[in-house]
Order: sequence, then structure tokens, then C-alpha cells
Amino acid sequence: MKTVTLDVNGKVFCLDVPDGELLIETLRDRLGLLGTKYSCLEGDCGVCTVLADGKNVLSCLMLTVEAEGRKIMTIEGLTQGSSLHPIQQAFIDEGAVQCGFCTPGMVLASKSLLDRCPLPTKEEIAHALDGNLCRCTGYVRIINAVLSAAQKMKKTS
Amino acid sequence: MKTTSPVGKSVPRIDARQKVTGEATYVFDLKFPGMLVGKMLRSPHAHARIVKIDTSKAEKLPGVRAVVTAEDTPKIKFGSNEYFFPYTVDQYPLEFEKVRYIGDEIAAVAAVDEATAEQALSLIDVQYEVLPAVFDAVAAMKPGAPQIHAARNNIGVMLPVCFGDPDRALRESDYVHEDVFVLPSAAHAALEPHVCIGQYEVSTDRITLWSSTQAPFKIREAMAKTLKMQEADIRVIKLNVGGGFGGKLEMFPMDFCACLLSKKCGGAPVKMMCTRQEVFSCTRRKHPMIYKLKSGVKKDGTLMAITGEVIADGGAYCSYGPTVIAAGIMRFMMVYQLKNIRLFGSRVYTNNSISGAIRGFGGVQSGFAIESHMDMLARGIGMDPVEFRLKNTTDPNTLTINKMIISSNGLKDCIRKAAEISGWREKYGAKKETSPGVLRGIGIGIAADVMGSKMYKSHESAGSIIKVEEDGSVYLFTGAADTGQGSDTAMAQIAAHELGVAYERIRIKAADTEITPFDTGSFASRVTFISGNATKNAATDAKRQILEVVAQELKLGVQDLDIEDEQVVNKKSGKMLLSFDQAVVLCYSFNYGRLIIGRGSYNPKTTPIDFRTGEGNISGSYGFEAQIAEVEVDTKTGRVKVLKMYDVHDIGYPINPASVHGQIEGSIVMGLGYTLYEDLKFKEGRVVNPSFSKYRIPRSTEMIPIESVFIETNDPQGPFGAKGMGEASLLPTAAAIANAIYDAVGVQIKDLPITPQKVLAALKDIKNKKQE
Amino acid sequence: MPILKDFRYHAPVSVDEALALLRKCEKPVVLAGGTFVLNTLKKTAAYPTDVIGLRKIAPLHGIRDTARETAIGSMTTLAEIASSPVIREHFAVLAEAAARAATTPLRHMATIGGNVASRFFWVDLPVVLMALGAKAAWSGVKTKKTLTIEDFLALTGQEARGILTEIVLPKSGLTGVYFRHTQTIEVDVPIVAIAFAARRQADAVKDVRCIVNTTLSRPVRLAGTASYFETTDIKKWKAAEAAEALRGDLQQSKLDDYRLHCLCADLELLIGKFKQT
Repeated sequence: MKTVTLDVNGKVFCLDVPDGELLIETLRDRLGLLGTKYSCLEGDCGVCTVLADGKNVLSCLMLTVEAEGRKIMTIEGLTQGSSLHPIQQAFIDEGAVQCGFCTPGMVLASKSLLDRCPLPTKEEIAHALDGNLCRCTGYVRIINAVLSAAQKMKKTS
Repeated sequence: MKTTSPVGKSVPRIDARQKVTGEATYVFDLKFPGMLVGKMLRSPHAHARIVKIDTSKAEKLPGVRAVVTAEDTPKIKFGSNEYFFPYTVDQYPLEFEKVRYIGDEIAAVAAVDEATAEQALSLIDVQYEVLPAVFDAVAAMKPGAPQIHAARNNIGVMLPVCFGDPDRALRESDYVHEDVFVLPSAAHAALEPHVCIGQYEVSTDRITLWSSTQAPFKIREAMAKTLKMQEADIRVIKLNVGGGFGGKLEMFPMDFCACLLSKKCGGAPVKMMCTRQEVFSCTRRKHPMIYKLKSGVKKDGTLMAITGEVIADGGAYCSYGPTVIAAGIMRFMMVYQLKNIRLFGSRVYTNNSISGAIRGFGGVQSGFAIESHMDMLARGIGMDPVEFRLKNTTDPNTLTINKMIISSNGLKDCIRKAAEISGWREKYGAKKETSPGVLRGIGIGIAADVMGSKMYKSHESAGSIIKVEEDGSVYLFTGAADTGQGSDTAMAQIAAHELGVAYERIRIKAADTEITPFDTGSFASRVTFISGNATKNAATDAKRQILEVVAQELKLGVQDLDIEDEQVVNKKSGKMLLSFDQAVVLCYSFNYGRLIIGRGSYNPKTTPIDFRTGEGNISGSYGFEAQIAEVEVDTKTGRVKVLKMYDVHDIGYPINPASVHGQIEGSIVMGLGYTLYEDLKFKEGRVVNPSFSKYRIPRSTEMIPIESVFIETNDPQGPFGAKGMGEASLLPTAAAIANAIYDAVGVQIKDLPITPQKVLAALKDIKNKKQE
Repeated sequence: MPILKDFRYHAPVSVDEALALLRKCEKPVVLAGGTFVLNTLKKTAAYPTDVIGLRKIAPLHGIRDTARETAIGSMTTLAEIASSPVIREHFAVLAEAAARAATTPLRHMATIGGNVASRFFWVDLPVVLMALGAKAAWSGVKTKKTLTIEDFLALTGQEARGILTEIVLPKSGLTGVYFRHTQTIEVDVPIVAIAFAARRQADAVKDVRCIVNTTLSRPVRLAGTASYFETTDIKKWKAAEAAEALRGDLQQSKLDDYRLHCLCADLELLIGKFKQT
């Protein structure tokens, strides 16, 4: 067991976790952050995506003890009260959500992209989302949503 | 349409907000006090007799709460096409005589945690007598092949279809062409793995099952049968489902065992989830198929006859095999108007994993074979593939040779429009070389879709209930199972429009067998059409009840009133009489006290198919589409790049255009994967690529430009003219791409996936032939 | 329900501390970015007793740049390499290869040290590093030394126990190209890849290194092909002749026709590129 101090969605948690615990387990089972989905556990599908210091990473491939010292953000951390982040709103408006299982990961991967590259091209978006599988949408509307969110965020900033 | 009606508009999904915030609950997210973890014990052998199962060591392991085997069950078989094909009911929830594939379920355990459950599995001692196995469908049909079930020559389902005089028609043809097409298996690859929670209530002897499913009522039926319980004592609840695509259409032994384990350990809830490897290896997969076709045409392009044989590798059990093989040999009859057909379909048992339903049923396989074959026939007589199709496709108000009743039909318009927007005339045959050795080509494929398939029960009804509460809130109860395609949204739109209220007013409760009316489930592109009609009828009924009260109060004729834009209006004068809210207050007032509860159901007008001949009208209406692919082929590496897909679809009328486009785009990209690389591979019955790193599905970097256009034929049967359309766009994709490759470089690839190696080998072949 | 069985996790702050742990622990495993190691732990039977995380060792992070060479700390992620201005300026081919390896989240996690030290045949960076003449700074449990990537990959047994601290790239003005072919989608592992680097001098090239990743064995150095390019005037380079040299180099490797075909197509593109510039 190790005692770790985690910064998740801007809140600090002090937890005792087994050395071998993965971040996905801590987030879901200890912190109840169920928007981090659970699927392949092999780093292939992207549904367990979280942001670590703003970068999209896979919580099924990160030890909780190694998450210490990084700012972790899950999908729950993106919503400020009842107002949605522009990326979330764009996913709704563009019809980019179907079964929704990939959506939290997709939204976070998109945020990571827009934070480092505010006005990406379609190709850059496709490249940035290549770690997040979606079997429903064919990605068309997801990529459109990121484009439209980027434009809206540019206007307001 | 009314000005504020949500129908025909891309309103936001009713569940989108929860999904973008991560609040949407899926079965795996549920946690109950005292919940146990269940695991299945699966056969390591492809074919073996079970000699003995000893669970005593596992039962003694601390932390193990229950172990079940077939001895704990009534030993009753289940299947998916029981009504028309009772002999295909061939699977026990837990096998006890034989195992027939690697992954076959023998026992299950429930324990305090996963590690204990897994350890318990390793302590179950099963003695097997390994039997010879067969993994190839053609080999399995040969006399002397290992016998998997009682079926003669391992042919589980035989489906002969014969109309007209095909032999004579072939003799009278000017050009006859023979082909063999080979289709591999594929996986649904829904992102959410199969998962369920079973809970037994001791005091009532009832079961609740939360399952990630496309068909909760079908699970209830199979559970009741195999557990020897009343359907009323089983409640199946669907939450958000992370994709289905046909892979979550049946009861799985896991569903059965979660409930049985819960019962055996005194009511503790038991959660079971497939690992990704189990999803790939032990749930369902696409039927690999072989199409041997021989067909003839006249010089003028008249299609004379299609004949041939279809062999499907069904794997260990029948599952939805009859529907799949029926779709595999009959779908083109909605597309092509011809009088002479002879096809013989065989669905064969092998010791591979179970083949079942997957988006398109057998239509994807037949789409590739028939649509590639049609291009080759057209080529044989020097006819343009678009012209050839326009000459031979079905028209509106057609009775097909097998007695399918096609009313609205926009197929020819789809073909014309697709040719127009893709620039077919300029591009076809141009063989444009974009860089040295890289050539462009264009190809077409067409398809038809059913909206419903009355093959699992005697009826195919769906029901809806609408209750309007005192505060004006509107609750819609529907059995329709949204698995992400957006049926909850479409149902809410339909209800809002018909009731004359804002879309935001509708709250939906769906797919809970104890609360919502019956619905067969999400399959066969049926939900918008069938459940949509049921919902429309329920809303009409609720509206009538409200208007009756208003009419009585205002002393007007109920026939003169309507609700539009949240107002009760006098249809004659156009005058607004009172608001919807006021009308509802009136209904619940002292004098009336009328609770508003509307009900509706819908059973499409169909005639059952006679499976001895293939005659019958399976669907209430039919949808159509044409797809054109533009590709670039690198003759040096054999690599195919799909540049753009054009899809023109007769969708009747789009209830939610964004959702309809979403279905089309998703289908095309799924089809792209199946065309170019998806291939669930087996070695001696074992899946060799059971992970997303080995079974590759398209990623965002594979996204291609898609231009999708609707043809609105306003179907007379569909709700607001809408048709179902969840599957059709997947059917012609592979052929459109294969035909485009031919246009580019002159090789027709007849086996999927179209790998660079196959293209290179085919190019080498034609080069050698030219030299000879 | 824990996914991984338990082990002791250590977070040393210096290489020496890490080496001491490696010597002391019963069955240790070194953890860099985690994308290979943690996935392997989910399946392996040979389970470690101790996991030594390198994250807290500051000197392993970052890129040091001098006039003569660039040293990449082994804990530098693929994403950092792909976006590093220094790497993009002097070793563009490495930045491109890093940008195309795996997927975005994996690139945010996976490190160059892990990529090289994994010794998986199919990874992208070792071939490119070999072409660029990179060296590996190796702190073995026994000795510290600097090795060529080839020699590093050849280490086995006790010799292979230690910490890869840095990858050092000499600034020798090389121009490089990297081609990779996958069987399925873009982000799939390459079934064959080729890295080529050379120094341009008027109409000739010097210091040619041509490395093929066959995914079937360790990277193969194409001496004959390199010599063809070095001894032939650029204007006279012919794809067919280069392909012949390549086939000669790969005679022993039992590469199938398709892979050879891909490599020959790459040579053609490569020649076109060099003739243009």
C-alpha cells in the first residue's frame, strides 16, 4: 500500500492504494468518477481517457502512484456547474453522440488538442483523436464538432 | 409540418447531455451492496464430450459464493428463430453433454472479487473426451465429417429458393457469367463489452436482470423458458447501451448464469462482464460465406436469371442463422426485378465460435457478392453499371417474384442522384493517373433494406404508452431499445409532434420489461418504422382524450379540434382556444378528473415467408439506396485509398436528419473496415486476433469524406413517411469499393478483405496473362 | 476487483538508486512510460516482485542540445520528441517517426527509452535512430557504457539489466527519410519499415545508413544498398538498381514478396526525393 495525494478535477484526495492499482480503478471505484469508461484495458480503445497535466492519456495504463504530482482531469471535471464546455455543447449540436461510450474520452482528447492547437485542421483533429475508437459515428460528426467548438472558442476568447 | 414540430429536425439527442458529461449510466457502472463478481467457465476444446464436472474444490475456496453447472438448470435449450425454425433451437445455457467450440459455456462461479472468481474457475475439474473437430464449412458438409449436432451433413439450416425457369433463362441469355465470392468473419466490436447484473429476490421468487442488450423482451422470453419460470417473474432492464450492431440481440449464457448464481447464493446481485477477448471469441460473429453464382443477361441488359449456392459457416450453434441465411439469399429480390432465380443456401455447423446477427444480417455478404457479380455481368455485355442497374431494379408498387409487396420505392432516383453528385459520367472508365502508378476509379453498389423481420415471433408488434400528468409533463413509455442509434430521441420527436407539444416536454422511459409495453427489440432496421408507429398511435390516443374534455367544456365537436404548437386550436377557424397546459388543467379539474393515458401499438402488415419456397412479404415497407465509391489504387504497393463515398438513400422521410446521416456515416465507415482489413481469423477454432490491437477497426485517421443525400418517398406506412435505415448503408459498400478498384486498375477482387497483397497478386496475374 | 496483481512500487530519484534497487530486488521490472510494461503485466505469468518507476529521476527527462550533439533523456515522451523544435530542426525524420508511432494518448505516455529498451521488433524508433547514428547511454547493473543502438539491442541476460539513460544523436547534417507500411489502418504496427539517412555533398551522398525493420527480426542494416547510393552519382540513381541491391541485402531475411515490393516502392520515392533537393 502507498499513500498518495491526487489532484483530480482540482480537488485534492489523500488515499491509500495498493502499489499495483491502476488510475482507472482509483477514479471509478474510489472516487466514483464513472464517466471514465472501462472497456479493453489494453490501451487500444481510449474510453478510459483522462487528462494528465492537460494531455490525454489512458487511465488503464497508468499506476495511481504515478499519477501523483500530475493534475488529473476526468470528464466530470470539464463541466462547470450546469454549464457545458464548448466542446461538449458542440458534440450535442453536431450530432456527434450516438451510444456515448466513447464520448467522454473523445471530448477530453479534443480538449487536449484544442488547448495546444486552438484552430486545428480536419487532418490534425483526426490525428489527435486516433487513440479513441468509435464504432457508431464513422467519426464524421465528431470531427465536425471539434472544428465547430474550435471556432466558437476562438470567437469568445 | 407544424412550425414548431420537432419531426424532420435535427433536435439534440434526448440523452446527449448525460453522455457528454459522463453522467450516462451503463450496466457496468451500477454497484449494489453485497454485489458479487461472476465468471464463466468456458471450454478449452473445440469439440469434446464432457465426461465429468467436479466443482467441489472451487466451492470450498474462501470467497466463492456459488458455482453452477447444467445440473442446477432445467436443461432446456434456447434459440433465436424458434417460431419458424424450431429445429434450430440447439443451445443449452450451460452445456453438459458436449462442448462444440472453444469458449462454450460449462459452468459459472460467483465470488467476492474477480481474482477469487478466476481462481475458482481454475479449480473446477472438467474431464473431457476430445472429439475430432471440423473448422471449415465445406469440409463439414462432406460425409464422414465430425458430427456436431444431429443435423445431417452438419447442415443446420437449408434454404432453397426457386422461381421461374432459371435453366431456360440461362440458355436464353446472351452472356452468362460465373463467380465465386469469399466473405470472412467479422466482429461487431461495440465499445461496451457485454455486461449484466442478475439479482434474485427470495421473498417473491423473482429475478431482475440489468443487461446491455438490444432486445430485453427477447431475453425475458429466453430466460423464462430456460429457467422454467413465468415471464412475469423476470424483469429485464436496459440502461444506456454502448453499441450493439446485432451482437447483443440474444440471451447469453452469462445473462442466464448471473441470475442463477444470484438465486443459488441467496439473492446477492451478481455482475458479469466479458473481457474484450471474450467479446471477440465467445459472443457472436459474422457468418463467413461462400457465394457461387451463375447468372445471365441479354445483350440489351435485361437480367435473365440469378442462380447459385450459398454456404455459410455457422459455427457451433444456430443463433440467428436462419434469418441470416434468408437475408443472404433473398435481399437482392427487393433490389432486382427478375423472374428466374435459383439459390440454395446452407448454413453449416462447424466447431468455430457462434455466427449470428450482425448489422445487415446476411445482407453485407450478399451485397458484396451480388453487386460485384452484377458489375461483371454488365461488363460482359459492355454496359455501363449505372445503366445496367437502372434497367433492372425494382419500381414503386411492385410485387416481386417472391411476393414481396413494395409500395414506395426511390431506388432508381437513388441511383440517378448518386451518379449525378459523384460525376459518374465523367469519371467512370477515365482511369485517371494522379501520380505515376496511382490510378483512380469509381464504382457503384445498391441495396434494399427491410424494416422489421417477422422471424422470431408470430407477431412483430411494438407498443407505447403516453401519460400526461397534471403539471403538463408528458411521459413516453416505449419498449424500443435504444442502443445508441437514437431511437429514444426519434420516439420523443414523434410523440411531441403528434401530441402537438414541444419536444422538451417529453420524458422517456424505455426498454424495461416490467414498465414499458412489449417490443421485439432493436434489429432489422425496424424501430423507427414499427415502434415509431406505435408511439404515434399512443400520442394520437392521448391527444384525443384531451380534446374530448376540451370539446365537452367548450361545447365543440372533437373532430374540429387539434393541438398544435402547444395550443388547442379550432381547425375550422384557426382560432387558438386554450394552451396545452390549460387543457391539461381542465382534464384534471373537479368536473372532469380525467387522467390522460394514451396507448398505441403497431404490427406491420406482412405475410409470413414460406421457407420452403422463399415466398412471402417479410416487411411492412422497404428502403433503398445507392452508393458510389471513388478510390485510388497504388499499383506499386497494391494499396487502396478510398477518396470519397456518395450515399443516396430512400429513407422515406427523416425524423431526425442528423441521426439519419449519423447512421449512414457509421455504416459506411464500418463497411470500409470490412472491405479493406477487418477479418476475424481462426486457427483450429481459436480466434487469433481477439483484441483491438490485432482486430483493427477504422480510427479517426481512416475517416473519409462522405456525401449523403436523402430521397424522400414519404412511405404510406411509415410514421410521417419515415422508413427504417440502420443497416442498408453497410450493404453495398464493399462492392462499390471493389467495383471502383476494377474501374481503376482492371482487377476484380472477389474475396474480402481487399488487402494490398491481393490487389498486387491480381495485378501480377493480369500482367502475366497479357504477356502470354 | 484489482486488474493487476500486487507488487512493490519504487520511485527512485537517481539512476544510482534505481540501479541499487535493480541489484537488490528479487524479480524487478523497470517502468518508463508504462504502455508496454503495464500491458504485459496484465497477461504475464512471470510476474515481477518489484516495479521500479523512473518518473522521478530528473536527469532522465528533457532534451539537451549542444553544438555537436543532441541528447534525449530516456523518459522523453514520443509526443515531446515529435514537437521538440530542436529535434524537428536537426532530426526531422525522428520527429516524424515519433509523430506517427502508435496513437496520441500512447505518444503522450510512451518514452523513447521504453521504445528502444522494449526490444520489440516492430517499434518505430530504433530503426530511425540507427539510421541517424545514435548512441545509447547505458547504465548497466555492472558497467556504464555508451553503445550503438544495434549493440544495445543485442544485449541479453544480465548484460541487459540496467537503465537506459539517454539517446545521443550526433549533429552530422544528415538528411533522413522513414517509410512504414501497415497491413490495416495507419496506426497499426508496421509490417515493414525502412529508415534512410545520408549526408548530401553536391551530387553524391556520404555516410549512408539504410535500415530495414522487418518486424520478423531485429533491424537489418542494408550495407549493399547503402554502398550503391554512396558510390553512384545521384543523377544516375535508378530505382531498379537500388532494388537489386536491397534484394541482395535481404536475401537471408526470408522477406515475403509483398514486403519486398513495399521496400522497392519506398526506394523509388526516396530516390525521387533526393533528386529533387
